[in-house]
Formats: sequence, structure tokens, C-alpha cells
Amino acid sequence: MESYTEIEFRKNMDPIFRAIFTGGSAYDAPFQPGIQPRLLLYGFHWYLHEPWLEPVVRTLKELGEEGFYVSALYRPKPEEQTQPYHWFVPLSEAASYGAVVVSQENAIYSVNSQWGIICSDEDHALVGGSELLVENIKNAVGDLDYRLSEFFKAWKDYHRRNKVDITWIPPMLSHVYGPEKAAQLLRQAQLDWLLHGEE
Amino acid sequence: MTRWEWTGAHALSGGIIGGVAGGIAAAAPIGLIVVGTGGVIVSGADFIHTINIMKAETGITACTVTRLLVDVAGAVFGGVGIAKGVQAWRASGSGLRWLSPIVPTTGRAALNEMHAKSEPGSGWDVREVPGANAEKWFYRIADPQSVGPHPNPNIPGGLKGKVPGGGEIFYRPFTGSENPAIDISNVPGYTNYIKYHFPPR
Repeated sequence: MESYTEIEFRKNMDPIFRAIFTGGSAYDAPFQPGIQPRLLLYGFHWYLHEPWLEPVVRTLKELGEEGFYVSALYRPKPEEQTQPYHWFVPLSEAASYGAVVVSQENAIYSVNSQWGIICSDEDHALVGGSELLVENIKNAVGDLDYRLSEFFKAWKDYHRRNKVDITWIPPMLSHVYGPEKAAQLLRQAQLDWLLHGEE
Repeated sequence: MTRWEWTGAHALSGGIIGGVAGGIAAAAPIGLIVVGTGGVIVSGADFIHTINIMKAETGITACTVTRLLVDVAGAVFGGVGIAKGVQAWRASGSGLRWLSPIVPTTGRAALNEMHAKSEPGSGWDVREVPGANAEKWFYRIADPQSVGPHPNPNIPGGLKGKVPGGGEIFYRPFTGSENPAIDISNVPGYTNYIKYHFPPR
């Protein structure tokens, strides 16, 4: 695994990052319009681990990509950085790089600007781009619907217990699934009040 | 019985009582409170008894003055014991935890203790430690020499450190769910990553 400075990131990786991501987070609409299709992954903790690891690695092999980039989303100013925030992870280390990004929201992305995964600090991630990647994940992870229902359950609970603002969910879901499916998912989760703005 | 035998016998019994009392006191907050209260009562009663002896019989002598000083010392130590016991009980975090150890665990033992207190919570594979103070747990678990700011500059007050024996620990005073959190990574004997939320009770 190779780490990069902020200067190296800006020179070599940032154009790729910007071709995939708008610069947002997993709580809003992070993908560029052309990065399709998209999927919400729940039970995603900071880095590639099972059940996500296997389909991602397999897809990259099929796409002929020998590794992927990882960037922490929130970084100190370059002159204040005391540790790396950007890496290239070869596929041979895809299962073991995780410790460098634990506790940091980060993006995992294609060296060829084909696809990206952006993870939140609360166990969900959004994947976008490369039909093959999304299909492989869907085929490999049989309980995606259950995971989505658990995602809603957790945030309903955070909202009930901690009064957490969850109005970010509809635009994020719409960005991932389109407005119609997003509305349908919210109704199923009994969160359709989010569409009208009143509980 | 000679004077020296009498003194020896009392010294021995005093030592045994002191040892047992110390053991009870060290075992749990309630032990410290019980022993402290006992010390205050016994010392107070003996103080009054000694005053009565001085009034009715001996007057002020070196012996009675020494006895009064010992009684005062006993009452003071008893009072301190009660205060320490109450403090330890309050630090245990629950009105029901009268029997938790007085000396807090640290390092890996503290992580084991926190994990044992945690329960499945909201969120995928997230554990919760309701009502507990995440920052206090972080400082108990982390190697003090390794503590530094969290790598994410958008988490002011966040911390990172190393777990003695291997692995890393992160403290986040706030998260997307509004719960303070502790993340542990690569700790031997635990899964690669575990998140603990600290919601209010």
C-alpha cells in the first residue's frame, strides 16, 4: 500500500476523485451525474470487509484494475497533516488496509474514474458507477433489502431517542434510487412524513 | 497475664480486626462505607466514655489524652472512608452498583470491562453502553503515552490512542446519530472493528 501527500493527491488523484464525486458525503448526493447505477450499502464499517470485499475485488479483477484509491474525506490543512490521508491499495492488500481509515469517513474509488464508494460514520456507504460492480454486489449480498430496512430502523431509532435530524434521508435516497423508488422506500419504512416535512 | 502478654494480645486482635476491616473496605464501596461508619461510631462512643472517665475518676492524664487523640483520629479516618466510599459508589455510575470494585481497571482490562457492560444497540453491529461517559472510558483504555487528536479535524475534542497489548482506539464526542462513540480497531481477541455508542440512559 502506498500513501500520498496532499500535494500528490491534488496533482494525480483529485481529477479522478472529482470525476466520480461532487465532493459531498454519504449523507447527501455525492456522485457526479454520470456515475450510475447506485446502491446504498448498510453494515459498512469504514473499509472493505465482508460481504462487500469479495464482490468489489472480483469486479476490479474483471475490470482489469489492479487496485483502488482511498481518501479520507476530512483532512487538516496540508501543513498541519501529521499522517497520510490518501492511499493506493493494491488488490492483494484489499482485505488488510482497513486500519488506516477506521473512524474516518472516506472514499474508495476507481483509478479509472469508473466507480466509487463513499462511507458515512454511521455504518452506511453509497456505491456508484460501474454496472458490473453494482450487479456483482447485488448478486453477492443476498440480504440487501433486509439491510436497507435495518438502515431505516436505526435512523428512526436515533431520531426517536436523540431527536436527530433525518431530513437528509429523502434527498440522499433520491440521489441513489431516483425520486420514485425513494418515495416508495420511505413509505415502506413509514417515513413518508419526511416527504411532506412534518412528522 | 503479664502486662506484655496483655499488650501483645490486644495488638494481635487489633491487627486482625484492622486487616479484616481493610479487606472489607477494599472489596467494594459499600465495604468502605460500612467500615468508615463503624470507625466513626466506635471512636465517638469511646471519646464520650473517656471524657466520663476523666470527669469521674482520673482527670487529665497522658493516657486519657492519648486515648482521646486516637478517638479523634479514628473518627476522622472513618469520615474519610465514608466519603471515599460514596465517591467510589457514585463513580461506578449506578445507584445499584454498590459492589463494583473501587480501583478502576485500565488498558485492556478496562476495554474488556466496557465490552462486558455493552449491549447490542441501534445500528449494524453497533454496541451500546447507555449512560456511560465515553471520554472517561477512552482515557481508561488508551495508553496515556499514545493519546493524540483524532485524525479527522472536523471532530474537535476527538481523540485517538493505542490499546495496551495491541490495537487502536478512537473517541468521537459526537457522531451522525448524536451519540458519542468509541471505535476500536485490530485489538487482539476482538473482531477487526467494533463501534460503541454511548446514548443517554
